[in-house]
Amino acid sequence: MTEDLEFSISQYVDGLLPDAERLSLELRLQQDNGARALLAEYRQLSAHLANSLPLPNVRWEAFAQSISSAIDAQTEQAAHSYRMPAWIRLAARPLSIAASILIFAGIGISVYLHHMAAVSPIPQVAQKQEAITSIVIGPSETEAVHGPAEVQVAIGPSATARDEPTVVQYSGDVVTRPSSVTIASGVVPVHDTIELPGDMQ
Amino acid sequence: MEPKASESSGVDAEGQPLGKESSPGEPSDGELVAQVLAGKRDAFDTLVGRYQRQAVAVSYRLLGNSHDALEVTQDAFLKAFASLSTLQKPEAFGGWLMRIVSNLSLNFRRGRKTRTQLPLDDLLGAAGGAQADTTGASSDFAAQSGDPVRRLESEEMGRKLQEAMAKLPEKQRLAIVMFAVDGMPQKQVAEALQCSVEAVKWHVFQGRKKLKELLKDVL
Repeated sequence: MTEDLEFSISQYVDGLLPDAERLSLELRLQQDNGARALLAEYRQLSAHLANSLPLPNVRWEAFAQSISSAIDAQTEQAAHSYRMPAWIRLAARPLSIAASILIFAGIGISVYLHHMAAVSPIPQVAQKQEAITSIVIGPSETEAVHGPAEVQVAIGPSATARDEPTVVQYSGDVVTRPSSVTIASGVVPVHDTIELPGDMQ
Repeated sequence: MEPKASESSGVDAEGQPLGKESSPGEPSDGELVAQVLAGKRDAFDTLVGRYQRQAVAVSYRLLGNSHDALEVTQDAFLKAFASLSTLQKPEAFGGWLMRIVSNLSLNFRRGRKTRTQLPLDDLLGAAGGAQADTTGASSDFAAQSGDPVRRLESEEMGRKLQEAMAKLPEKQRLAIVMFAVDGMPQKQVAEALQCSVEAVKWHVFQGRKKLKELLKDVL
């Protein structure tokens, strides 16, 4: 028995076989005992499927009312739960993305600056010394014209800086100073404490 | 030799058809869906009245328990109402609803979750609950015949049919339940199973063939 024939018999039982195929099958059934037996089996199975599986006896009107009440309850519950309007949710989306980008960019820049500061620290001492130290070497303006050569060494704020309180206040931050200064000239300086070599005297 | 029209009963315990087609003059499923979406809440009650029998029948065949079937059916209608706007073909409401019912029933069966049971006892008729929850329950015609031998035979056949159907692949079982047992139109079954009508015919045939083998001792 081919599967095609069995399929046709199944369709025939359901009354769904097209006319041409139905007539052809009926001719076959008249001549083929096996096909007739198969048809009987399918009809029996079909009848059992339709009749041997009862349904529960439900009070349908009460059940429909129960469903209707449940839907009303669900609708009421949904109405009470606040939901942001769609246009706000749509508008908020790009704003939230932009805010996220800004936050991440800020964090990135901050981390980068801290990293750069750690790699190349600014020499603060040198900066302070440069700002507040003034060293003048040479004769005073008066002696340069009239007297012997004399060296004047001054350590501290320049004359300009002394007159500027905002600059002078940094003078206390000078960290290093020369322990001594050696001046070489044609005459023995009166206040010099270092002996010069013989050929220099 | 006259072919029989579909021998599926397609009626409930009271002889009412499981799924009502809209009669002339009555709004179609598509029109009712449109009314619900336009805010006419009562239109959904009409859809419930039209499909509740069919939904309970499908769920009950898959679950074998009337309480579970009623609970799942109610959940299915709630879900259908909530997602009605997603239904692309309003005229296919019946098939779409049966798909929800079958999916929920199969999930329920897989999970067999212990949930707070709804107070559904008062929704079942006097004989309905007890009759329904025995897998080998008697058929209506046998129960009404008063013939105890015939009733016992029918109960035995019902039990064996349930056992055999449980062994079928899912699609074949659903096709058999919806078409051969509950008498749904093949087009609606196709919509419920999301396949072609030809595929439904094939699933029904393959399901019957396997059932015939499984039940060869009693047929």
